[in-house]
Amino acid sequence: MEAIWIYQFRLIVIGDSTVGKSCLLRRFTEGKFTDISDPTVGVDFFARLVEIEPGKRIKLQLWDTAGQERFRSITRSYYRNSVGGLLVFDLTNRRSFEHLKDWLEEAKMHVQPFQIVFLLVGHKCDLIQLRQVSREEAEKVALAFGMKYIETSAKDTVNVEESFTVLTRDIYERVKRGEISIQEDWEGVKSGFVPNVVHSSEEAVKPGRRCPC
Amino acid sequence: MLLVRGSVCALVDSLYSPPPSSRSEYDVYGFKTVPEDDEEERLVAKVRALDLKSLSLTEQEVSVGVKWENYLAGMGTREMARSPELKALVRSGVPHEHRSKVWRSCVEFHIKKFPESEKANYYENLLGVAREKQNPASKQIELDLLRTLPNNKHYSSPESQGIHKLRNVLMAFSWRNPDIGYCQGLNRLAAIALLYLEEVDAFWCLVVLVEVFMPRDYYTKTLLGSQVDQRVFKDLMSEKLPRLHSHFELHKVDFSLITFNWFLVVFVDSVVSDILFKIWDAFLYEGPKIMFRFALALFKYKEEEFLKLQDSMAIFKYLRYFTHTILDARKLMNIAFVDMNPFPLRQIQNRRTFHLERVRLELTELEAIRQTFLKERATDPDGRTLISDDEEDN
Repeated sequence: MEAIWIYQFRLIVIGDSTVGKSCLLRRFTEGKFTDISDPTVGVDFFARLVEIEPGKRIKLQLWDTAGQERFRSITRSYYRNSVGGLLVFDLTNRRSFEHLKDWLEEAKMHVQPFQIVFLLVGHKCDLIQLRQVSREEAEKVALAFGMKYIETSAKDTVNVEESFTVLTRDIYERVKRGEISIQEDWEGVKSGFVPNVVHSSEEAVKPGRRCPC
Repeated sequence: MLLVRGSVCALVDSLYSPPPSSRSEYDVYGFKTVPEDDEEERLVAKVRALDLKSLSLTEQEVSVGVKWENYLAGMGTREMARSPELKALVRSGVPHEHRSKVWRSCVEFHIKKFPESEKANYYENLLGVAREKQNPASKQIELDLLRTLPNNKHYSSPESQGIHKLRNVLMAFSWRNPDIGYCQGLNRLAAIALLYLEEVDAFWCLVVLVEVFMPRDYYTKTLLGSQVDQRVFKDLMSEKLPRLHSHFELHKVDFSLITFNWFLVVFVDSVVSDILFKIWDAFLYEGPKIMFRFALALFKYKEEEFLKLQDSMAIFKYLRYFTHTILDARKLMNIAFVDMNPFPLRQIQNRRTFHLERVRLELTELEAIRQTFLKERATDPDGRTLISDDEEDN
C-alpha cells in the first residue's frame, strides 16, 4: 500500500570520494552498515519516508553521487532538480574538509537561479582518535556557508536519522513560509495526495525563486 | 610479498583463498552467495542459490558443455580461430573450465595491433615505473583496491593475491594512459578480468576494453564517450522498446542515470554472476555492441513489470534492483540475440557520431557557464571568500 505523504523532496548527497556518502544513505534507508562498499559510479538512488510531525510524512528521494571529480559532468542534472542536500566530509580526512568550498560552488553554479538547502555533515565521528577536523572549526565553516552542522557515524548509527530529519524539517519550514514553492518542470518539491494540509503559500506561487545566497 | 612472476594462474584456479567465515557460501567465481549474519537474508539467498544451481543443470546447459568439448577436441592444439561456429558457441556461454582459455584468445586477437604487446618486458617496465614514481592516479587506486568487488573472496583482504595483482594492473594501466589515469569503474573491469586471466593478460584485457572496444573518452575527464553512449542507448530504447520508452518519458524517469553505470563497468555488480560472465564471454568476443544488446534485453525481460508501475519513485526503485532479480540466463540471452535483431553496428556508429557533436557542444557551454560563474564570484565581494573574516562578527 502506498503510504500517505504530504510532500516529496529530492535530495542529493555530495562530497569527496570515500567520505562515506553511500554508507550514510544505506544506514538511513536500509538500516545496514558494511565496512566496505564499492565506489559509486555515476549515481545511485534511495528512498525513504520521514515523519517530521506526528502524522505528517515526507517522502525523500535521495540521490547518491560519485565522489571522483570526473563524474561531476554526469551528476550536474541532479543539482538542478534537488531542493536540498547533505554536504559530507570525513572528519578523519582534512582534504575532504578543504574541498567543501569546491563542492558548494559546483552545486550553486548548477542550481542557479534556484536555491538549494544544504546541511554540513562531518562523517565518521566514531573514529575519535583519527579526527583531523575539530567541531569548532567545522561549525565555523558551516556558519560561513549559512548551513547547520551535524556530526554522524553510519557505523555506530550516530545522528544518521537526525541529519536527514534536520534537513527535511528545514526545507519543510521554508516551503511552509513560501520561500520554496512547487514548480512545473522542477523535481525538487512535489506535493503529496493529502488535500487538507496544503499550505496557503502554495496557492500563491511566486515565479522566479531567487537564490538568496 | 609475491613477485609478479610468481603468480601465474587465474584467481579462480588459485588454491589460495582466505579462510572464509564458516557460515558464508561462495560461487565458483568467488562471490559470496549466502551471507553469514542475517537469518532471513540467508534463507532468501539460499533459495536463490538453489534456483541458480538448478538453472545451471538443465539439459540445455549440459548440451552447451558437450558442444564446447567437441569444438575444443576438434581444435586439437591449434589456436582458436574466429569463425561463425565459435561466435555462436561463445554466445551460448563459455563453461567455467574453458573460460580462461577463451578469454585469453579474445584478448590476444585484439592486441595484435599493439606492437608493444610483443615486447617481453613491456608490462614489467610499466610496473617498474609505477614502483618508483607516484602519479595522480596512485592515491585513488590505493583507496579503491579494497573497495573492489567486496563480496568476492579473492579481493577481501589487503593480503589477497587479487588485491596485489589488481594494484599492479591499474597502476600499469595508468602509466600507459596518463590522460585517463584511473577512473572509478576500471577497478571492477580489471578485477573481473583477473578472475580468469593471468596478471599480464588481465592488463591487456583492460587495454582492449578501453582502447579498442570503447569509443574515445569513455573514461577520461568528462566521460564524453560514456555520455554519448547513453544518448545512443536512449534512441535504441525508443526504437526497440517504444512502449517502455514512452512509459519512462511519461513519468519523467531518466533511466540513463542507472544504465550509465551498466555500460561503464560492463554490468559488473548489476546482474547475478552467472549472467555477468556469460555477457562478458560474448562481449570479449564481439565487442561493445553486446552491451547494447544486453541492456535492451534486461529491460525487455521485465517490461511488463515496469509498465505496471505508475509512480516515478517506484519506477526508480525498481530500476535500481530489477537486474538482480533476473536469474534465467538462457531466457535473457535469447532476448538479446534473437528478439533484438536486427542489430546493425552501423546504426550505433551513426547515432554515436550524431550525439557526439551535441554532447561536445553542451560541454563547451557548461564550461562557459563555469567560467562566467567563477569570474562573477571573483568580483563579487560577498562571494569571494566563503570563509570570510566577517564571521568573527557573528
